[in-house]
Amino acid sequence: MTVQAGTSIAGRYKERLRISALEFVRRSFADRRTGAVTILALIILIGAGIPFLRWAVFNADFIGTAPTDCRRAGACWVFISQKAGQLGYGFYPLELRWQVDISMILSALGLLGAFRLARRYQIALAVAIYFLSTFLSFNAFGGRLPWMTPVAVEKWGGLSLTLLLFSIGVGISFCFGGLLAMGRRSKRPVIRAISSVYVEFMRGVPLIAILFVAVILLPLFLPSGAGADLFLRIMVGICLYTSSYMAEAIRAGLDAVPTGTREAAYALGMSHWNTQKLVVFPQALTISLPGLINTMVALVKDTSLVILVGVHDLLGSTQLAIGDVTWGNVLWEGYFFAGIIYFMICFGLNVIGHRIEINFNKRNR
Amino acid sequence: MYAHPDAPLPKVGWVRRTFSKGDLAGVFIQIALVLIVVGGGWYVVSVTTANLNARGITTGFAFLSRPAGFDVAFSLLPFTSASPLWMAVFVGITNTLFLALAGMLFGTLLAFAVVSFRLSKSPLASGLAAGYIGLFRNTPILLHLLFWYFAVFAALPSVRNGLVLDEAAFLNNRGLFVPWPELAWSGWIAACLFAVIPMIASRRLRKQNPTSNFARIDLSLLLGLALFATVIALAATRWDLPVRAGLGIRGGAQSIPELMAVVLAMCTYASAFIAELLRGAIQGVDRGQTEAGQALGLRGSAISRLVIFPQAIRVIIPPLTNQYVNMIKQTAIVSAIAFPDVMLIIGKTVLTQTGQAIESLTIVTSVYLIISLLAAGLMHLYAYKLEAAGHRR
Repeated sequence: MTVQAGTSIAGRYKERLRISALEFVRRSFADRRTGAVTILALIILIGAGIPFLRWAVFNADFIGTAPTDCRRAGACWVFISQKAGQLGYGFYPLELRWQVDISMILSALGLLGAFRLARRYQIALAVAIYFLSTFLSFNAFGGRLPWMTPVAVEKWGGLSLTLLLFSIGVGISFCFGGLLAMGRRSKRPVIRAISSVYVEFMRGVPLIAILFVAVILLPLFLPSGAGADLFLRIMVGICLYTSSYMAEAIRAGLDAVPTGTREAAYALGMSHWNTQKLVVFPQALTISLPGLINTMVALVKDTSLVILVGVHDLLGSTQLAIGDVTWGNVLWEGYFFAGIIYFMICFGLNVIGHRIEINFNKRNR
Repeated sequence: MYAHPDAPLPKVGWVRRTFSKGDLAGVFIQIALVLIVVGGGWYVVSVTTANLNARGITTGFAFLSRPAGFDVAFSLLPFTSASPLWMAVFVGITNTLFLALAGMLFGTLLAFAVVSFRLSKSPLASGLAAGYIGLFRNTPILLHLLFWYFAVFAALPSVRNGLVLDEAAFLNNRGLFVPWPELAWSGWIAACLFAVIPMIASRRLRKQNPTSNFARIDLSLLLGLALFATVIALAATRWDLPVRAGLGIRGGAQSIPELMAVVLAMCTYASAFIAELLRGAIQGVDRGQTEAGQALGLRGSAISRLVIFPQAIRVIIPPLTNQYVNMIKQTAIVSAIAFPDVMLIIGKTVLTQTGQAIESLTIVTSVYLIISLLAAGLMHLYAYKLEAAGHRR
């Protein structure tokens, strides 16, 4: 195995975009070893790609409304188009799905607005906007706002539930994680000890165990009658878990902020909180952006674990849809579709993170 | 009142620091925090005791000595339904560790293959590996697990119509059945001893002639594996062949479909993450090192092996340990396909059977916590040793 050390990723990327077809072939067979690797890659690509394309495109059925419209020579995409409602909304009543749409729009607006405000250093306003929109979005989802019809948690599901879990989890755990990160760097021993123990505990335990504790034990810990509903319990578990990872990502950034900038801020007579808000955190968050994006991607992926405690998000709805015997064996189609949706969300997050980083570097140059 | 926040902490005890002069707000905040934590804990405990009393649930770990009353589908330790429940805890722990170890081993091996594609000069291979890494990093592992289990292994044909290789190996929806050698425990030990001989020999050789093929780790591993297989084949008194018996298959070594699905899902998923770590570490090594290797007249593979990898390993140990600890925690998802790990046995089966929710979940969380903290501690020790070795040179 020969590897090249010390090439930057961006450099390689740019290089690859510019090469011509001839250059492509020439490079693929530059020396004996590279040629062998190219041939191996070709074998894998052709061996896996052609049967896959045959299944997914050439022999697949795209048009139709019933299981009988599938010839079964390839993928049955009719199944996906017919089950799209369930995959998107779970068992949410058809005539009430506008409530979910409104909730999604509120969440998106809240996250966007909070992000914009935070970039203009209006932290308090950003936090307020975020929590307000999340509160409204959550209640719109459950149909508890005026002119809406309440819908029980058991009916929620699909992609919309995944997105709701993400939008609530990401903001709350970011705020809590930021506090924890500051706590772990505090010079006050008690604050430092409590934050450290919390973070290390949460990072040492799998999310499923925390979800089990939240779902099964939380009702025991609270006075009878004050039982929070299933969704809230799950949300508490996810936020507690994710905030510890957020805290570690942010702390890495805080540690990397040069001491000089802090000293400069104090020399200008800025207060402790203003220094944190205007000088330290903006730099720290830029440094820790890749870590934060990774944590967010992990959060999207981790929301799929809620199916183990009986809530059907995108993956859970896919499982239920696949279980419909009238469609026969549609396992591959279902998992493939769910995989594509998860991939698009996570990849989208990566792209957004990359954009922010590039923008920031441009502005600061 | 501002002491500099990044000033080194004064060398005084934590009590003095807690009640440091001039930080009145800090003293108040910390006392309030302690009160909140203690008070909250006391409140939760009192409410829980009241709730438990109201429901008539007794607490304590005495239930662990009761007989289990259930069987487990996969166990490395002897376990029957008459075994005590504490034995079930150990079965769960060994199964969890077994899964994690298998995932780590195969995941790391696969990651080396992926990263050699990713960093090769061939654009096609590099792109293929990038696609693989992107695909696995951006989809949930639970999806992979469910896919491998429900869409692949559980969907295999039945015993009657399953795949048969030479009437000795069977692959069907009951799992994979292969012949298993029967030999005394001294045979196993001898095989293990022979397997490590090439490793030790190559370690010795590396000091004398680092560029020789005998000093290569990969070759010595392969040689060790070959020696292991040879000794087993020679020492085996009898091969236990799987045979069809009625509707099932008897004899041989069985690998249940759940196990294969988990190991496959974990190792493919982890390989993408480990490959990214490896790539980062390898590309992080200064280019001058490669050029220095070339100036010394080393071949490409020797430069990778002797110059780049030793430096990359140093960088990669902390994130790799993190990844391994994550994998131990990740094994908890196998309860989704009913593989009996510690999460399923204690967190679900025992919990529903005995109703001892608090105790069961305490056991589960503390098992994971102890494993994670131990692994993290070992990593710190290793990193410290590496650093010390680096300073000595």
